[in-house]
Amino acid sequence: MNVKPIRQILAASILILVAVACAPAATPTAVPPAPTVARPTTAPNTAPAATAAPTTAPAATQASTAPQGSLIVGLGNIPGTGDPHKFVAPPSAWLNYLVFDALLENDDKYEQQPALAESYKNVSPTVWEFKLRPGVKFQNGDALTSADVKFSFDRVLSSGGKLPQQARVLTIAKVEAVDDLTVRFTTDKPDPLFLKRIASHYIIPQKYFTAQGEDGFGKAPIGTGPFKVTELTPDNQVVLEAFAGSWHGAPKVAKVVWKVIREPATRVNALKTGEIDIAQAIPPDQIAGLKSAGIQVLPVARAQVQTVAFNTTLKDSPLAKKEVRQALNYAVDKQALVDSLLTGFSNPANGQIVGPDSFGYNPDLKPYAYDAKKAKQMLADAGYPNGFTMKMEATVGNFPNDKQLYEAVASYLSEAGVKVDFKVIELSVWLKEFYSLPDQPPMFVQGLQYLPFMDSDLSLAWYSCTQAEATRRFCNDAFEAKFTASRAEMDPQKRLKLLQEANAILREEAPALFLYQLSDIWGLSSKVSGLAPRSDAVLTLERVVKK
Amino acid sequence: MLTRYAVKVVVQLVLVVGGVSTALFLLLRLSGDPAATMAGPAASPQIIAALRQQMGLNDPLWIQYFRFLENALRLDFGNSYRFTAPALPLVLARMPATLLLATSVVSVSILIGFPAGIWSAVRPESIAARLIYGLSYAAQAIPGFWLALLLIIVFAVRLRWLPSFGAETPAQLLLPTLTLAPLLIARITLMLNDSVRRVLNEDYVRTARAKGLLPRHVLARHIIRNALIPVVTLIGIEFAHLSGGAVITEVIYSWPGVGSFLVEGVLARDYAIVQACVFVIALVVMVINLGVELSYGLLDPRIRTT
Repeated sequence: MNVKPIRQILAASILILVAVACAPAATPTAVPPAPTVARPTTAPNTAPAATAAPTTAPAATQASTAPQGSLIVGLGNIPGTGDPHKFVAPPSAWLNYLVFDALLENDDKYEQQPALAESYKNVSPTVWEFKLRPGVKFQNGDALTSADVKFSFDRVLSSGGKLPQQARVLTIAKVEAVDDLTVRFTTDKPDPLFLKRIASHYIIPQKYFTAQGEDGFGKAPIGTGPFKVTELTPDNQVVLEAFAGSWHGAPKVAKVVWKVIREPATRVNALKTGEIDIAQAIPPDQIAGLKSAGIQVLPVARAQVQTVAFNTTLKDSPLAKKEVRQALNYAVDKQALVDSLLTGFSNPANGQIVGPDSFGYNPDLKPYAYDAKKAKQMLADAGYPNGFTMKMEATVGNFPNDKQLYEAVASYLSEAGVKVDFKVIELSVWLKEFYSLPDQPPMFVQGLQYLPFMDSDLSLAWYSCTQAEATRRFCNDAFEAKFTASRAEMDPQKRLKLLQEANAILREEAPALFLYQLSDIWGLSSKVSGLAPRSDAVLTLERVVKK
Repeated sequence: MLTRYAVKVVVQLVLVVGGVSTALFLLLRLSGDPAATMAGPAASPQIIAALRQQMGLNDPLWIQYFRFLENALRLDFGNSYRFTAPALPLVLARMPATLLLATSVVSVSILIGFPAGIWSAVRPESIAARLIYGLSYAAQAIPGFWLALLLIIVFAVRLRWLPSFGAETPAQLLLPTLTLAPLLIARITLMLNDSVRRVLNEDYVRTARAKGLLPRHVLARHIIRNALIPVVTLIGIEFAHLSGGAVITEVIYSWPGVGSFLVEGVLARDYAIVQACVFVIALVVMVINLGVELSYGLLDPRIRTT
């Protein structure tokens, strides 16, 4: 059979396809304006009132233009329910922020400002009283009253651990509706985190929730926020419409559609074709191509520090010695890892488990500088001149190049003499081992989320002696003293100092190998502006303007 | 006769669906803790313990299994923890998209594969036949995800003719179909080609020709009808396979079908979703197999009587 003509035709068709794929795009590309980040119009910053002076916010000032246009956002995943107390991490956190309000809200510096409450006072160390903003309406027209606030807290506090939100408001012992617009909270002891807890707790309408039931409410949630959910199709799309009656004033866009696009390459392509306006989690290797296509790229530091956690509690383990743990920190060149494998879009951790945006971050601490010789010497001085062998486990696929990154860490450690037996495990295995220390290898990759608005407490708690035995990898008297004191200190400045001191002790004690703080990369069409880069699981779509 | 057949089908259905569900039940429970997955890495051990209690995961495995069986008989696969809603309706809501894509792919494949297969068998030396062979082998060698990305770059990003993802307009059906169809077209073409060529040499074909029947009648009534049986089997298997969801294609085009839903359910340890997906897919596969078996009877009267 003569195959020559067929080969020629085949080759020609493939060439044509590839040529079209590689040719420059037909549409002209314009250099985009730098992403503009609007600061919100929030109330003046008021210190948590240790005194009884009430703080009052001026009424929210908003642009008077009507909402315009629709915004399409491509996300790797969307919430399965609109119940704000059930899921508290993104993408649910993004939805909760747009649909609901708390009594207080966090501004762009993660400080608490009045929201549904227009003022509050600290009646006694354990009693707080909040005055609600009058005239606030839910999206179904119901007026907000103190009964809704009490209901929203009681529902979570009595859930017996069923609702994850409970962990954030655990210290609240009692909530009372004093009158229609006054709510009184009693904590079990003086709680310096109280206002931060209040700002993390969304208020739902009691009457509507009771009528709909839990599942019904999850499908058609109603809040007081700038957007109303009009469609929530699990694993497909969420449609939000501007709520004109919001006490915030109307948002800038009339409609927002969140679409599930799991594949990063598809999100990138849809952004290029203009089918979507905003895309989540852009792979670093796509950034150059997007920029040349006129797409804005916005890196946002993630409130999470990646570490290799050490189990320091086993007496005969080398990791029981502080010098060994420090040596391992000196052995790894974090900057090189960030530059090569994370393409520069992340920062090495400054010897601590929180980032600069967290209350309690210690600006004086420096990363352990890379010094392989020193690491070897320290290991020898600690009694390990020939090093040792140790297991390390991690889950991969959480961000680009993570597997290569952990392998590089292992190879740095082996240069210092520590042979690492590195194993990739599945998330379910990771979680199982995480909560039962005996099953866990001595070195275990852990990303610590610190939620900037909840301050360093959340992350530091993992290193407290009060951790349940099944998750306690570290216990140190000096650290414990500072940490315990911080939990009782109501003066913000003194508390800040205590947290910073606790962070300094952790750097010295090195209960983990401090790696880096990751960044998430968002892609925005050139028509879109106003998205604020925030690391606290908030997506400020209410500020976004679409041309 | 018909009753016996019906009983056989029902028994088969129960065995397959029951067996698959049981295997799945055990595998899922051996492979990780859904409570820990649901609570996430920031949760305290107390919260996870409370979740385990609430989800009934602290009961002995056999109690969990009987509870599962009892509920499954009532078509209740439990609530998906991610969507806080019953699993079966969620899965059924994804089925139309999957069936639409499967039907589209199979229809396009038949429309192109049948003429191509028959033509290349009847005129094996023609240029067209050689081209058909070449393209068929090439189509079988192209990886689906590569083709999908290439099609998106060409038709969505460069030419802007077609949407790159989604499932709301008919145009959005085109690229996923073009991604999945080439392989099936190639397989139908090659199998039909082989099958027709085999039948061409049969005695009854020669007899039909000798009787003086028109060539197209011989082709339609004697050749194609007999050559179709293995091809129908192939189409049935492929249709069943596609009805279980074309995972990679669904993910790349954000096609809201049952395949990507199942994979997400597995990754998230969402037992209810996984079990409901497998139940629905097993059912659809059984129904398609039944359809294929019945069609044999239409094509070949001898099968009807046995």
